[in-house]
Amino acid sequence: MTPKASDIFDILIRQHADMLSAFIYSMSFDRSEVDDIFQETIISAWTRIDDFDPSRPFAPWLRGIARNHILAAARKNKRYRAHLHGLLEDRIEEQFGRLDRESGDSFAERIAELKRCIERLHAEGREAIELVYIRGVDVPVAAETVGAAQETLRKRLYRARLWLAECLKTKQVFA
Amino acid sequence: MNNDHLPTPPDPCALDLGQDDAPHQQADARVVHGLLRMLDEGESARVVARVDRATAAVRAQEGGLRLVGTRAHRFRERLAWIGGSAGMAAAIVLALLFFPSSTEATAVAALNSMRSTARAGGRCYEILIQPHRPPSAGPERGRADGPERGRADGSERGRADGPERGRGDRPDRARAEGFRRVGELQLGAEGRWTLTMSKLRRESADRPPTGDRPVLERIVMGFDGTQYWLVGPRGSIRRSDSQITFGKGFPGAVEVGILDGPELDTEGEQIAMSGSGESLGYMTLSSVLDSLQRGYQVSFDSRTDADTSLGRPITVVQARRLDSRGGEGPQSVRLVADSTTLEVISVRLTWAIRPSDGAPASAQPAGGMLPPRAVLIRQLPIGACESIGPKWFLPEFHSSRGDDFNQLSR
Repeated sequence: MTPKASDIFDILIRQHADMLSAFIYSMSFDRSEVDDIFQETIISAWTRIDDFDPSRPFAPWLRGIARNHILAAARKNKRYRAHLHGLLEDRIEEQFGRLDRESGDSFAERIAELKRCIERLHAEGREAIELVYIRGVDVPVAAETVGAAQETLRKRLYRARLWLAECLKTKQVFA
Repeated sequence: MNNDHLPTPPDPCALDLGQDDAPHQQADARVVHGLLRMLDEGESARVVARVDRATAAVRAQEGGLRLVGTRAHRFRERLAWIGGSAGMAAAIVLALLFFPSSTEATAVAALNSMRSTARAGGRCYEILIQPHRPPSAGPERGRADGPERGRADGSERGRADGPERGRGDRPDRARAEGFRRVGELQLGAEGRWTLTMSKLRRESADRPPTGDRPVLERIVMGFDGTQYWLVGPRGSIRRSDSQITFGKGFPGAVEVGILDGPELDTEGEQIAMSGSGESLGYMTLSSVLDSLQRGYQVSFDSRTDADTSLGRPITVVQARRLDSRGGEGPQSVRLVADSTTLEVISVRLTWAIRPSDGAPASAQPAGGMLPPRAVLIRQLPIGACESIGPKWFLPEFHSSRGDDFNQLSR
């Protein structure tokens, strides 16, 4: 007896859910839109499954759909429009393509190097990353916690992200 | 370039400050931002809920769970190509092995989605019990000298004509069926929950007398995602790695006080329950959903697909206990969920009645105590109760000062 197509599609989506969420977080400008974009992507993927080229991998195809939804959402907002340009999008896709090839059964395993890089991060950056990203503290509260201005904390976070990107490059996780 | 002119975006980490950096650097920083988001302690639960919502939306768009035809056929053909990865092949093999039929498979998938949605929290439920015998009937412990509280049909004396608190004045079928409200379940994020119930306190020498009436005291059980909590009437706390059950720590193990709305019924009505530790598990939604993973045959109840009396499309999943299952599990469980979100609206657990003596067939009577005839867990309107937050699971929140568990524990 064969499983239903929708069941297999469910399994595929669950398998790629972490990757897709990370991709949407990377490209979107508004955290509150992530759930909506995720849902729209899945619905579009199911609706357009006939367009999928089976000789190509599934993950980039899914990201392509997500990218269109993210850009459509961003274009509606003047504030975000200025931040959109193709070079940035292509590079994001390139890095996720590299992550697809990392070994590991789950997305968490494929980004395990990131945790090791965080451990090597300088104390100030690590504190900021742990507060905002791992413990989910809002930036204003995190800034108050570390005794810094919000802008200072945001700069600290940005520098930490740049450093982590370099770290991932040295480990050949990033291109 | 400075972007200080930009208002603070909803995600302050998303708009980078490094506009002077090369595009590839900005892009890399954004990818790291996305990856870091996945390390958030609550992100796993959010992803599960996100997937469940999205797949439920797909099913809803495709006309429920009846997808057939060329798309399904073509998709299956295409999957043969995608199946190049070992993980994918394994997933498909698992699907083939463990999904004995498409109907059951999708019912199990729906059940899993209900579990995930419940983990997202933010809702509360009332717990109603239909006792094996009405509180006033039968040889219940502690009832021999008490006033008669219930009617022969199990309905509650003095309340049958009044509106049910918190639910308006519409007819209540559960009340008419003899269900009694015994607790309130609140679901928090990441699988946290609290269950507020009451126990009967009888007169003791160290407490002021209250006439000849027993007194009901509020007790709250909870789960913080790792440990189970039991908070007594005076704030004392007991924690355990395993589910705290009637038999293992619920003071006054065999008596559950009847609640009516947010106030306790101080007249001391009670329902005798089984002395077994399993009973409490059937009052928490997560335990019920978990228990259906094994030993139950799960299917959709298609007869009720069109039932829109709740004002929204519903999905009904029916679970029937397989004979091989031991313990005191209910014979059947009926789950009603919102079709779009798969948020559980109500759960009815029913124990089978043994015709010979009227006792539930699955019961292992201990001291004459029996499991309930049925348990009903049903959703309360939004705003009917306060949502629980992580603070509830801080010891100082309860300002422990009593020794009620030392006194009451078995």
